[in-house]
Amino acid sequence: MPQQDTVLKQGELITAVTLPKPLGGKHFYEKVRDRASYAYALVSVAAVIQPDGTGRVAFGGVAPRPWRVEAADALLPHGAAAVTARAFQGATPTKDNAFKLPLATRALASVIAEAKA
Amino acid sequence: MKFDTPAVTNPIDRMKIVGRPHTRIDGPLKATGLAPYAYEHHREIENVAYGYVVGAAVAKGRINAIDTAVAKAVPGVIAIVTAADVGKLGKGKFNTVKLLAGPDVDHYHQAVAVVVAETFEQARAAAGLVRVDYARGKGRFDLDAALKTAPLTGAEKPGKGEDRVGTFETAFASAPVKLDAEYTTPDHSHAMMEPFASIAAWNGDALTVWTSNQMIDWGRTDLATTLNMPKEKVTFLSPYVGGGFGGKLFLRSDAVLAALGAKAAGRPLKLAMSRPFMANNTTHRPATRQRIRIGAAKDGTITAIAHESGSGDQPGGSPEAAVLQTNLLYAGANRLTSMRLAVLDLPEGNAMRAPGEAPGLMALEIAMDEMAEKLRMDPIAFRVKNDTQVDPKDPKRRFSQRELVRCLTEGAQQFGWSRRNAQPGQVRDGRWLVGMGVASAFRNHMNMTSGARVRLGKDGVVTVETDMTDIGTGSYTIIAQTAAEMMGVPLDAVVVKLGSSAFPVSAGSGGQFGAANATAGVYAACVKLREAVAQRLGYNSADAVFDGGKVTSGNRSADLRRAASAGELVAEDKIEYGDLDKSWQLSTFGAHFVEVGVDSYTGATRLRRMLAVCAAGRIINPTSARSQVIGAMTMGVGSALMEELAVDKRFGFFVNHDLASYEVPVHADIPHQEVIFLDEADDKANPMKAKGIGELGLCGVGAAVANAMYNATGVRLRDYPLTLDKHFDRLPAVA
Repeated sequence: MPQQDTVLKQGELITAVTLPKPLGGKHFYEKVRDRASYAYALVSVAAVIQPDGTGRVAFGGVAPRPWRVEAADALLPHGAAAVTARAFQGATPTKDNAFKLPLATRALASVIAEAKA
Repeated sequence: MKFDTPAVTNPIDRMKIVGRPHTRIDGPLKATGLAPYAYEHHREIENVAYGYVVGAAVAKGRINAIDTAVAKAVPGVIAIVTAADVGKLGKGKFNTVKLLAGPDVDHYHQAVAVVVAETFEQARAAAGLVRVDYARGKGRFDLDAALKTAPLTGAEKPGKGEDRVGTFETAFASAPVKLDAEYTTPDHSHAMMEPFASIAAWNGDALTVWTSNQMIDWGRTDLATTLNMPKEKVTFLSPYVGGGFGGKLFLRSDAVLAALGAKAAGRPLKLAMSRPFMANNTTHRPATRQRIRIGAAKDGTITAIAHESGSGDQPGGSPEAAVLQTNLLYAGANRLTSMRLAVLDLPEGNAMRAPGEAPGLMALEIAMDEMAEKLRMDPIAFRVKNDTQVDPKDPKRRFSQRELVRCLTEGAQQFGWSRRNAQPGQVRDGRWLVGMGVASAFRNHMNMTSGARVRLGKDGVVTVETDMTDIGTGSYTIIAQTAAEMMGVPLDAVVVKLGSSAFPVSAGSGGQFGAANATAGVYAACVKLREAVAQRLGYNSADAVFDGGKVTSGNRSADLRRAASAGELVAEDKIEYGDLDKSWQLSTFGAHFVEVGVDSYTGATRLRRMLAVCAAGRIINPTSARSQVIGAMTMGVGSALMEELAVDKRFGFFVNHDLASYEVPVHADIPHQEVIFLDEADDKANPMKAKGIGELGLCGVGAAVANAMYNATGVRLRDYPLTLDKHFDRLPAVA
């Protein structure tokens, strides 16, 4: 439900956050913006990349919440373009934010390149 | 003192205090919070009420009715003032649009009411409950659409709005190498730190206003005009200003509404604009659409140059004069400049730091870079080739001083320009594409009448009084330096009092004319005081030497303070100018060098280092002048990379009206800046031999960034701001 930003129901509070065990691999957060600090991301990419090129990726700045598509994760070994093609399948950008789709691809490409470095 | 012949040797030339670096004499007050800004004059007034402005919710239309009943019932509300309550107001000479709407609304967030209450929170809450019924009209908000039918500025005058030398069209058509390109700059907001704020207090029919304004006499006069009262009844005070950048040259709604609200409440009122109110309520630098054509011979000699610009403003407004520098900056036998002005119903456009030159050079200096590339010339060599020492339109008029070539060549040496790869897109540093760019800096120097009063006290302290303002520039300090040099006393024996309408009218702060003219006015007053001192001591004033707290004439010498032993000596004068600026062209010059990195993946541009070399006459205080220039360079980076007021063309307002969404550089954006001042003294300018510097530091910076980006990437951008979305898809493939 993209319009639903929380699973909390009326009267519920967050009392604790349990983090999963570390996944291994290299961890990245790439934030793209028009100035060096104090700006919202135009696009951001968070990723965990394993030595074999598999991993997980989430995108920011493209939806009302961090954007994850598990089927896209599976395409990480095929490169950034394959991942974003799947992750943003059916996206309906406007004239003013259409640049975010190719920008996300390039941002993810920078992460994949760094993982290989 | 009339300045109508070039300056000869005078006491300032000793440069014992003038010309040397001094930290701000008002620095400790500011660092400890003791310098009162407009909203902070707590000691002078009691029983203050608070005002909050209600802004128009439509950009064009008419107010049918204002329902204040609910708002008036809010606890603590004292009064609500609208145009209907105050009768017909006047309009200040420097205001294009009236400062209180009603019944007509001229632009979004034009003030329609001020709510006065016991506390700020009560006033703000009640302001939200004022109900205004509008008849929304049809406004004009699209510059490109409006320019299609906009007339040439000055079309009714000889020349029909075009400034021509030779025959541009013929020369351009036959030029072997030519460029014809269009450039755009967006609307800019001054975004100064201190918001517009005023405290108003009435005493009978006399009004005192503490405010934040660059020009005391303009503000005082326009406030009196607006309120239909004699100027003499208005005391206008602005001793400290937290930035203005031209936005505070003029009377704005805060001062008017504070005065009207205080009158209605029957007690003093303080009022500050909220940040989100400023972009649309006040003025901005108008957007431009510029076309530049340059034709040159194969050796790089410019034979034809044309610069045409279009901008918009409210009815009765004026164009952003983006073409004027093109009349003077480069040689060329055939020339054309012109401006078009469209009528828009966006907020009022007006001066912002280096009006005209800032956006004009953002375009012209990209065009010069493009032309150099077409000619296969180094961009510096191309500029040097087309230097002119005379006004191209009137070759009898020489520049009083023009060291543009030295600025470019010495800057090149200092910056390591020889390491620049002329082939773009070739230099890599990891994921970064690296490039260097250069641009000329140019801004005219303006003469302005400026007065001051100087007192010599019994204690030997010299007190300067002038209505000059210090908008963060260092006026207090350079005025103290001038008086100390003239009277031969140490800096700490001078007290400087600024920003009061009780003091002689000065140049004020704007157009980079403040420092040179205001200190020249202090010079003039000090000359008079020196005469009074010499006379009191029985010396011949012509040969008296003022130095080390003593006055010496021939073999006689006395402590300066002895001259005031029988009572304070007071002298007042102003600097006034003859025609030297007609027989000579007074201008300031510089060169900006920039190195950027462009992220090869995302296209994000980050500054790596920058250098400015400035030739601007005598530099009165290298410390504060450097601060002026690095601040201006920072502003230039902002205009190049991020600053843009986004226009909502449906509803007619600037959408990003706060500091989160109107982005200006943060510290992390500006890693390294250097400034070099050439050692100059311009005897045609004034007795200080100084010119302006505060705007020169901005002029050309944007283009230097743009040219560095092109050198880094090989992708030419002509539409500011040069954000990553405009070029990343043309960078080398990465995925």
